[in-house]
Amino acid sequence: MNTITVNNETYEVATDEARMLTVHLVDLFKKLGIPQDLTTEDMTPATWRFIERIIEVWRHFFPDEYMDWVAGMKYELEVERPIKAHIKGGTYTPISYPMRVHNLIQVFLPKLRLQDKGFIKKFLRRVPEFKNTNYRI
Amino acid sequence: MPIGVSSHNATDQLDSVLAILKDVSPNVDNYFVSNLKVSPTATNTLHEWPVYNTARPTSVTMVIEGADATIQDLTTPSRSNNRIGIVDEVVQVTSTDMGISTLTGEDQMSFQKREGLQRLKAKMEWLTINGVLAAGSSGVAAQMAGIERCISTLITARASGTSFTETEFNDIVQDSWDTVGAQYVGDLLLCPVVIKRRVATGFDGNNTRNISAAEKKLDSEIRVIDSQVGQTVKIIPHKDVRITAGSLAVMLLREELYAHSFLAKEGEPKWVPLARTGHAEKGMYQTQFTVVSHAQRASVRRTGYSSSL
Repeated sequence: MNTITVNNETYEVATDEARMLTVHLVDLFKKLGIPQDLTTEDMTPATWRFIERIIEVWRHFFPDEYMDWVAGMKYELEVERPIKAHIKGGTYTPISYPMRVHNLIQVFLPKLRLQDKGFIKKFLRRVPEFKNTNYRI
Repeated sequence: MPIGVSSHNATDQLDSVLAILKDVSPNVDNYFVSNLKVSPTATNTLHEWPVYNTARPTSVTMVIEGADATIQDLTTPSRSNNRIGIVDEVVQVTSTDMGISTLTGEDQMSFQKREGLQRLKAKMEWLTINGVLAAGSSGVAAQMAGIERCISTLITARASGTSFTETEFNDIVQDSWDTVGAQYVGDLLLCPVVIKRRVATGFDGNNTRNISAAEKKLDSEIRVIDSQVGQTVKIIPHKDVRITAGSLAVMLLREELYAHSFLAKEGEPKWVPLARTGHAEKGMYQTQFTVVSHAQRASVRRTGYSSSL
């Protein structure tokens, strides 16, 4: 493992890929002028573009995880219970986020409520792979 | 029969050691330390903040025409509090060990400091959920209340082994809805992973599925479910939530109503080098912090659910 010493402190050197990704996302976040305390009520086209870019980065740099997700979600939708059972039981799952994507969005936008229904509806129009139900939300 | 030199009798071979370390320790999943907001600094070991609540009227007496104005006693905000707790993680490496090459080629002190920081974070996470309030005294450490102990209004102890059903889930959300304004109804279900598994299988642990070898199941996702109340709830399976049979805990929280508060100047986590003694170098990560619960009555805690699927 490569290390670097700064002011007598030893740090691990991040991989080129991780550095590139971090720099790219942080630069884009600054260029778009997105405030860190942004909430679901303040979503702008620029913010949506940034979130879409996070998803693109995830798809591109974690292709196996992405393929697993698509296959897993296909299966989830196949075994989803009938809508009558949803209504009788009283719950259903409109969306699931991959852990890595969820954490990445939360790092940049900690106040964004990813469970907000209005946000979910708009999010799924852009990223339908995360929709966890066959039915209308 | 002589065979010259073989790998079995040679005495001058170097070790075969890979310099790859896969650290799979479970102490890296720390949702609250990573996501909880940080409120203004605390300036004393007893940290306080105001709380206020007004109940809805359950009956109304209307006023007689021409009547004089009558006044009733009004309430003002009251204080809620928590204690600042000190947490540290000490690292010490002898000068001898620092001179010896390691399997990974990494400096021993660097490795131990990195791991020490991770352990400190895990300790903070555990305390954020499970801390038990104690005032402390001379020679006795003060302790902060974690989120579970902050909840005092909406607590229900179910009979040991009760199944976590959709009805239970919807009742929990309703408890919160009944008690607070609609914009503060709990939206994060904190639970052991077995509860998340129950939810993923449609609240029916016996829901057997036939999975072909080519298909994979979602295994690392954050699930959001919609309740009958109308609130969408994010499910966070957590390793530190109590899973003991008979007292398994499930909590519905409104995340923005909780925060970490660090003691002014000294509280934020930091590395403090300690004076070298003898043949060892040492230092410690330390922090002094507490959990701020701005309105615990929005949160719900239920215990006693079955710890099996």
